[in-house]
Amino acid sequence: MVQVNESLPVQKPRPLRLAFRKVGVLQYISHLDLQRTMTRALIRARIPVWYTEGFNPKPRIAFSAPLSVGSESLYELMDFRVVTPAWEDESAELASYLEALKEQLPQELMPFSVYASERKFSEIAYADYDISFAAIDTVKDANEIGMLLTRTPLRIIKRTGKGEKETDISPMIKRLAVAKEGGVIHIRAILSASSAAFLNPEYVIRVLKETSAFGFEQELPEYSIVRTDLLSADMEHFT
Amino acid sequence: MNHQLTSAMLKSVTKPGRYTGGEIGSIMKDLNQVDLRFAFCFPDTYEIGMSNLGVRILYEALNREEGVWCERAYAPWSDMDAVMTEKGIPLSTVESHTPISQYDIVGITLQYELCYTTALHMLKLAGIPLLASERGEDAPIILGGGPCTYNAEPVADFFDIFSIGEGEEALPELCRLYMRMKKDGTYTRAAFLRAAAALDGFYVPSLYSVSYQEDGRIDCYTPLYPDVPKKIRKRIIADMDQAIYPTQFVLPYIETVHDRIVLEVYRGCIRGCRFCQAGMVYRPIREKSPETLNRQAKCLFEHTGYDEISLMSLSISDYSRLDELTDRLLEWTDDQHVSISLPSLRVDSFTSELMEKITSVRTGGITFAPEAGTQRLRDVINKNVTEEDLLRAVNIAFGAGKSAVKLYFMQGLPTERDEDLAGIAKLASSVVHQFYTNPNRNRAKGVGVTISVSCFIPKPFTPFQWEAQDTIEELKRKQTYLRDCITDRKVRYTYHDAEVSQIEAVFARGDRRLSKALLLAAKENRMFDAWDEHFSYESWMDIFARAGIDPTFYANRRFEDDEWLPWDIIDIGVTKEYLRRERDRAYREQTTPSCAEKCNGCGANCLGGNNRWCK
Repeated sequence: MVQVNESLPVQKPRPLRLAFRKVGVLQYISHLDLQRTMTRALIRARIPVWYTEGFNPKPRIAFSAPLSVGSESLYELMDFRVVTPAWEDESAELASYLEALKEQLPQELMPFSVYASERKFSEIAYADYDISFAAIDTVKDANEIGMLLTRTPLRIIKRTGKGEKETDISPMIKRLAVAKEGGVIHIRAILSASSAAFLNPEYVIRVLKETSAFGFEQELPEYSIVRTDLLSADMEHFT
Repeated sequence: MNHQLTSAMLKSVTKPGRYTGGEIGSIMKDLNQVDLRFAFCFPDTYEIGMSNLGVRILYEALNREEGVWCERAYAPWSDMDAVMTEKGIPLSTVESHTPISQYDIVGITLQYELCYTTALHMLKLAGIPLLASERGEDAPIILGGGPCTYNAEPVADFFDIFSIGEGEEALPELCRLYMRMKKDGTYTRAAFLRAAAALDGFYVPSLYSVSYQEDGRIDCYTPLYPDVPKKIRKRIIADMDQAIYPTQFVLPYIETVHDRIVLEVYRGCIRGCRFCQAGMVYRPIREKSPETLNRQAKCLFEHTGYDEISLMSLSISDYSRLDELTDRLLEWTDDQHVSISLPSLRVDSFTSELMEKITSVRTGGITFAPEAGTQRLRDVINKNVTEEDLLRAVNIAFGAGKSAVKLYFMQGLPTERDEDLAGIAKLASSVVHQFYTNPNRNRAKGVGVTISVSCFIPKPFTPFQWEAQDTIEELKRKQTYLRDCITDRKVRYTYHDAEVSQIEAVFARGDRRLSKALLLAAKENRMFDAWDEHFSYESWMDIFARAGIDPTFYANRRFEDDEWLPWDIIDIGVTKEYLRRERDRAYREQTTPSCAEKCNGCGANCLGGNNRWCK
């Protein structure tokens, strides 16, 4: 149990960041579900987390860029703060939190790093995705798919809070490469991921569907979306 | 991961997390160590099923048994059901995604009558023959449990066996019998069911023949063999402190209805309200000690990380050591940011001390259940609560800053007159008035009083079990009448559908002949009757007509005192004489004191156990 030691001076909560993945069956849980799962895992792991104030205190956590239900990710980030004084051996402290969380989370949410970071989530500018589907007969070839996705302008009808809006998403596709490997089409795309200009990778699938790139307009083949990295404005790996 | 459910299918339905499993706390066993596979089915959606405490307790009890692996299955929502039906994907468990037709025992918990169609639909989706008589040696044993087993006759033709009463010891016992018979080579379906009928608390419907009189009433139930019991006495757990209780919960990823630590504080109820089936069938009253409860709460907190504890029982304020329990819990819950919630608080025991202790003040409103609008009718139903009690209780709530109150009532109660309904409106107005005379009221918000009125359903094993339900016309007339009585703008009135209530009454008081209707309903893929969007009264009337059933025979007919009731095959301890005595006192508008004040000789003490109040 967490003991509140009243003889110590009041600590300023220290920010820490957790890197984890979200794969397999857990791609089907929503952001709110993830929040609840992480909150409970932190409590079970007995990590001295900082709680919100007010009527209904909860551990204060924040997540990096949103991930749709149905997408996997190899690189997700969550911020939290701890209220106890820092250990003398900082790396031992971080390792202990990581180990404790590993015990409380399933394989599909495996955490792999706990660290202190100066950078804010608002610095995230891009996300790297691997969008793949089987190259069955009806699917167009890699080159054609590449050309379809790198057209300018690339107009799509986006559903916003206020209704529908036609948007040109080509400026939000920073980089794109399509390859066929072992019977599977892989679209490696770096898409805009800042909060001001966030492009959901599902729109890539939508473009392909609407241009009959899959061959049949009605049915979608099995496809997979995996977010592989988060990048800052200078296209470097964000930590 | 269920490889039959593709990513495309999961992405095409709402809340795919209902079907994926892999939850923290779910049990995976090595098949080489397993002799009996048990599929525990909940006939409603995942979110509803995961909130059920009984399933959690039995999941723990079965999985602790060596050689037994218990997994869970839920009813797929209609969108996934359509996909599964189209692609021929059978119903499977969420742990190993094994089709439930491959299990040894399939247990279905029957929580309320409107889930019967969903239960049958799950069997259909599993590819298991619906009628027990049509199942071959390879089919799983279909076991029924839960509150509806107190009158399971409408579904008796679909189940091989019912577990009557509390299952923590009974179900593992049944499993041990099964494993033993398989091991020593004596197992056949018929032999197993005969042997199970000899265990305490198990009802095998196929071992009885039912005859009917010319006027349609039951003549009698006849056991087919001399060793088959004439009645089945329910099982109880004698010592609640020793009873199995989960040390961890399966933690759902998606949002469920009651996502919190649930502590079962005690079983039974001292009050003896005459409409209430639960208060009768869970007797005798058996409490857990505060030490046990605190230990269970701490253990669950450590294994779940939940931030709320709910103290569950039929009437939590009647727990004899409530102060001690809340004090013990508060020693650590505040520090851990865990709140305590006490649902189902009685009006007459709502005190300001209680309100200060529990942090369900965080939730907006407060709820009480006066049940009837006049003292006369409250006396008839033995709800021993006065208007002063109610006003005192709401005053405490208002003084603490609450501005929303919900009051539960019933209409269609025996001896009810229009003035009793007018009394509901008057009570609501008195509550509003109480708000405005309270000097500490929340002046920033106005008061809101909601009255929620359900339709009385005469339930088996209550003093009112012989009563007829009001006709639908009468129920609707009363709903309109009450609405016209409410003139206060601060009072909101909601009521339950009379048609749904009639169907509930049909199945609550029905007999085996209703299986014809359920079979027709199953053919037409009826399910989720408890959900507004799926219930259709017209469909039910049409089904009853085609099955040659008159629903009013069950819902709207007064049963005779000497009539053989469909549930007479079950013995709950409480005697029919007691129920009749209470019914007669109801007509004389006489109240009966609670068990804590005086033992009224209901008969439940014959079941033994560490009962709290019996003499």
